[in-house]
Amino acid sequence: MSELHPTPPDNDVSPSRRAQTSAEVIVASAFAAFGGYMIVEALTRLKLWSASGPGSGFLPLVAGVLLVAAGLFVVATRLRRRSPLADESEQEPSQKHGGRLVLVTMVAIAGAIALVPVIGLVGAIFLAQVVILRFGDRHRWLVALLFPIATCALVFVVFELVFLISLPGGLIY
Amino acid sequence: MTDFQGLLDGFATALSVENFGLLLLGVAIGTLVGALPGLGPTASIALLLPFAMTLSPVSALILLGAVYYGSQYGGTLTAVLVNVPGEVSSVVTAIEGHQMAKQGRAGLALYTAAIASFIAGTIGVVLLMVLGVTLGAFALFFGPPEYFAVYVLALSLVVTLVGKSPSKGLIAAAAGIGIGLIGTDPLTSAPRLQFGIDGLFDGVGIIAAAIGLFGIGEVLDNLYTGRLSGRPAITGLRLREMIPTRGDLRQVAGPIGRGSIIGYVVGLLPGAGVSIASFLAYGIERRRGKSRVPFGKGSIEGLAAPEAANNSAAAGAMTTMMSLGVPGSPTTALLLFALVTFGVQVGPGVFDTHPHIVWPFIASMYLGNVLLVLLNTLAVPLWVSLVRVGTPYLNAIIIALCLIGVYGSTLRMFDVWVALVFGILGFAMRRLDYPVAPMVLGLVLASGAERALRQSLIMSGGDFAIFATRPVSIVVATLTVAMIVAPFAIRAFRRRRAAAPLGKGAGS
Repeated sequence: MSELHPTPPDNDVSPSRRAQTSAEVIVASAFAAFGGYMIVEALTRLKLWSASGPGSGFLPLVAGVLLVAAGLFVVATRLRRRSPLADESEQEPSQKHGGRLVLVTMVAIAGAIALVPVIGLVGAIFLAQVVILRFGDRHRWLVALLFPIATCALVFVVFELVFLISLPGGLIY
Repeated sequence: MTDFQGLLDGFATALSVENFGLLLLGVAIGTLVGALPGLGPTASIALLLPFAMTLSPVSALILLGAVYYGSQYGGTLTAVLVNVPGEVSSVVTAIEGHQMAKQGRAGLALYTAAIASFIAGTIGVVLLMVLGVTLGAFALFFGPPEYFAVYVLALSLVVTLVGKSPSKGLIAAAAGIGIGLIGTDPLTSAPRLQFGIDGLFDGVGIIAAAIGLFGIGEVLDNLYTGRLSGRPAITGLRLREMIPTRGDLRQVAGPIGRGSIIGYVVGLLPGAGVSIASFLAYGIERRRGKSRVPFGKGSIEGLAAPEAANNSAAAGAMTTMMSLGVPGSPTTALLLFALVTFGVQVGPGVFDTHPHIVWPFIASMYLGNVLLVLLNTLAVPLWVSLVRVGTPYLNAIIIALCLIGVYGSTLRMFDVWVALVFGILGFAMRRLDYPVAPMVLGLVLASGAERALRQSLIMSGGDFAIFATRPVSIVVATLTVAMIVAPFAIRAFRRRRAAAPLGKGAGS
């Protein structure tokens, strides 16, 4: 059987599969790193045990050990696996576009939040909505501008005027 | 067994203008979020939490609970009319329901689903009431060791039952516990796991984390898959054909009854959830094979059973949450969080300690089911129009609700950043098949589990044998081990059985 369906050599691996593997390894490693941080904190800064029982570092140590063990297991399993999963090999071109779109949206939301001291929270909502409507959902510019304006007006009226909750206004109001 | 005076008082409270208005709002929001693909009940409850926190505990629970069980009704609409299940639990509804819609029986499918949901929802509430009161008798047997054992059972079940990979489930649960421990030690107030960030002194806000994981994470996932791009194509609906014949009713009576019981029992198990309940009920009907129309071609039995199951499963999950204090899903975890924040100690005995909250909530579930069956039969055209108009703008609406919801809950911009980080994490987890449910459960249960563990060991002078010497904790611990071992044992058994004929063949 193995002669009829040879395992593809590493240089034949598709870019989408390589990206998926990298993403798997990065995320599992990040979880393991968080576990490592918990272990180090528990062993160096926190009390593991006291006269009355477990200290503040006991459960972080247990959770950290589980996280490191499971994270490394996932990394090892992923690196050892040679054949792509069924759903990975069938990645559609639209999902590659989706990846770029997600990146743009994440940057736009982060930028909008960072700009809150300047444009206020209502301005940040406006910015995030414009990016999502125009580039994510591909609405016309008119819709991508009018819908956020209406939303922001509603948010302003409801929070500032009805509930009297002061939203961060930035330099605008 | 049941306290009828308590129930009557509960109806009086639930029927007050404020509570009835919130109930109506909750079931309407629930129906809408259930119907809209890309916005689930968990995200909606997370978004509503900041508002709910401004209400009285009983009003908040009535509102949030109504969103939860209301969403089980709403999922049917898009599943039948658009062939896009609003919820995972509506996937099997879409299989049969959309086929019925294509045959011009959309009205009958929606009506049958609404009736099945109503009957199952009501059976579920009756069982919640009876079982909740019965479990109250065991309140005296529940101390810190028992609670800790139950928390471990809940987390173990979620890790093994949810998602494709137990190791990823374990990662999600352990990370959730770790995140839940960030801040200060509840017993000594010693700072811990703060990464040197001042904003984490009070820990990670559960509302910010939940809104990030389910709201922002959902938007990113919708954009990635292009799920909400464009206006959904909706199959025609003739309301005149909604009324089922006596023959139709006879056909669905059995599946509704079986679906209700299966759903409730599955819903009781932490981690099993409404989706497993609906798939199981559908599978059982299919195996029985007693349908005039073949399954997959618009079988009314195949529609009624899972619809009944997902509604009674929601009541089952509420039973576990209310009477044991153990949430079985992210949605019930958020409900539990809301109750704990209000100072309500749920668990065995909650019916005695907080009757003014529990009975109005149960009464509201009876009323909510009546409202939902009316909303989902008489107002179908309204929901269809809202889905048609709202879907293309849903991502933008969710993101606005997320930003305003997180800020509104604490009035701290730091929490908005936390929500974004969790949003990115939630998106990555969805794409890489990490289950999100164990993380939320770990996050919500971490402080309670730690407190129970430490109190238990203080009681025993540091001796772990305390968990193996008390009857209830022994039973729960045995169940935990069985639940962890069972999937591996079943897998090994199946592998051996599958390998057996090959071995014989090779031998001959």
